Formats: sequence, C-alpha cells, structure tokens
Amino acid sequence: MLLPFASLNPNAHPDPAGKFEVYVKESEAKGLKLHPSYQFFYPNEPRLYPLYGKAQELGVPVIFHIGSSIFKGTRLKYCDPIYLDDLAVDFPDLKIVMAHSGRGFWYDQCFSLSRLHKNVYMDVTGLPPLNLLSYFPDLEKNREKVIFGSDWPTMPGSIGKNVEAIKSLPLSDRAIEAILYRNAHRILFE
Amino acid sequence: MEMIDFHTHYVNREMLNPTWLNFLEAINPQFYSKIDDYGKRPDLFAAYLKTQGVKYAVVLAECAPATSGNIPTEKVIEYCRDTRCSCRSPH
Repeated sequence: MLLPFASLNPNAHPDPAGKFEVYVKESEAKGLKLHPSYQFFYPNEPRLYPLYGKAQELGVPVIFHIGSSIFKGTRLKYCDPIYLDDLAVDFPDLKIVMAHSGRGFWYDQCFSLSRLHKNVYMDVTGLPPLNLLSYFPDLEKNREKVIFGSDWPTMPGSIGKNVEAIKSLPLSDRAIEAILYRNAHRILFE
Repeated sequence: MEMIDFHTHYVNREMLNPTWLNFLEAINPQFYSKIDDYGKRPDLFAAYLKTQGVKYAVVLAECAPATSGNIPTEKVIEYCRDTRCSCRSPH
C-alpha cells in the first residue's frame, strides 16, 4: 500500500496549516514532508507553528530533510537539527522525523536529539546501511526511534538489497524488526 | 518479516530538476529506463514493492522548484489513490 505524504512550501502558501488540513482530511495524506534547506526556512520560525499545531492535532508525522544534498542552491544552515529542538519542546505530541539523520554533518546531534525527545525519530534514508554503526555506534540503544527508508528510486541497487544490509548489521533481532517495521508502524498508524 | 519503507519518491520526468534527473540516471539506470512507465502506473511500483517484501511505502511530494523540483501533493495523492490504506490500523 502506498501512503501519500504532502509537501508545502511555507514561503509560497498563505495558509499552510489550512491547506495541510485539507490534504489530510479530504485527500487522506498521511503526513507532511518539509525541506528547510530547499525551501529556505528555519524549522522553528513562529510563523510555522500553526502548521505544526495542525499536524499535532491531526496526529500525523512531519518529516524534515536534515542533511546534505546534491542539489544546487541548497542552503544547509536551514536544516541544522538544533532547530527541531524547539519544535520537540513546544509540540510534545508532534511526531518529528529527521530524514537522513544529519547526513554528512550532524550524526551525533540527530542521535542525541532523538534520545532526548520522545517524539523525535531518525530516518536513515540515504545513508549506506553498512555504515550505520560507524555513524551511530550506539544505535542499539536508540532502536525504538530509528526508521528505515530507501529513497527509492534515487538509490543504487534494490530496496531488498538495502534491507539485507541492515539485517546483516550486528544489532539485536528486536532492533532490526523495529527499524524495518515496528517504529514506522507506530508513527503512521498509532 | 514485513517491512515499511518510510521514504520513497514519486518521480515524473517533467517535475524533476535536471540535477535530480541526471543523478537518477546515473545511480539507478534500470529504473531510469522505465521512469515514464513508473510515473503513470502505480501498480508497477506496488508490484515492485511486493517483490522486495515491503508492505507499506510512504510516497513523498516535493515542493522545491528552486533546488530539486516540484512534485505536487495532488499528483502524489492521485498516484497512491488506488493502493493506499485508509484504515487507521491495518490489524
């Protein structure tokens, strides 16, 4: 089953919260994807708080692109994960997902934020699976907060190959199952 | 083991900026040769996911024309329409 996530550019929509509510209630969008470094906004800007409040009210997750990018014009300063700390504090029931988990710049910070806040998750999309434990040596300790994503089709090989790579990591069975299914299930359906 | 892929992209040749298209062609030529088919047929993507053991896949819109491209939410919703789960819990 395919689960659609909406995306909005906060700089282009006059009422992002209202628009997002329509997407969720009338079109059954299951969440929101935001790209601070592509859309040029800081996540903790107060003007975005109605949007986050709406997502929290609707019980749907918000994914933020947090990490490096190949695209020209990207402005990395906007996707520093520290800006999500304010959101986690001000919206304690909002499910906040860090796509790419700080790729290239902020692995430790993303790990720490996810450990600190019950509502902040690490999506390891776009990170070579076999390198995960070098980026996050204590991944096992945070196993309930890590989510698998493939970045399909912008990835080499198959989804299955990436999954097998994760399964080959020296992690507990419980961690593997949580990363590949249970954590995402909780975010999406509970 | 059932799996959820929390991060996939709906791609359409006309909606992606050249950098993304070029990167896609280089990194996943097998998909790139069928990009138009996948863009029109969500059943192809759903069938592929099934072969990979994926039960649910999040499909992302992208609203960033200045960098990556513009993949409207409406297009993603339409793409997922025939295969999406409207239930709160699948169990």
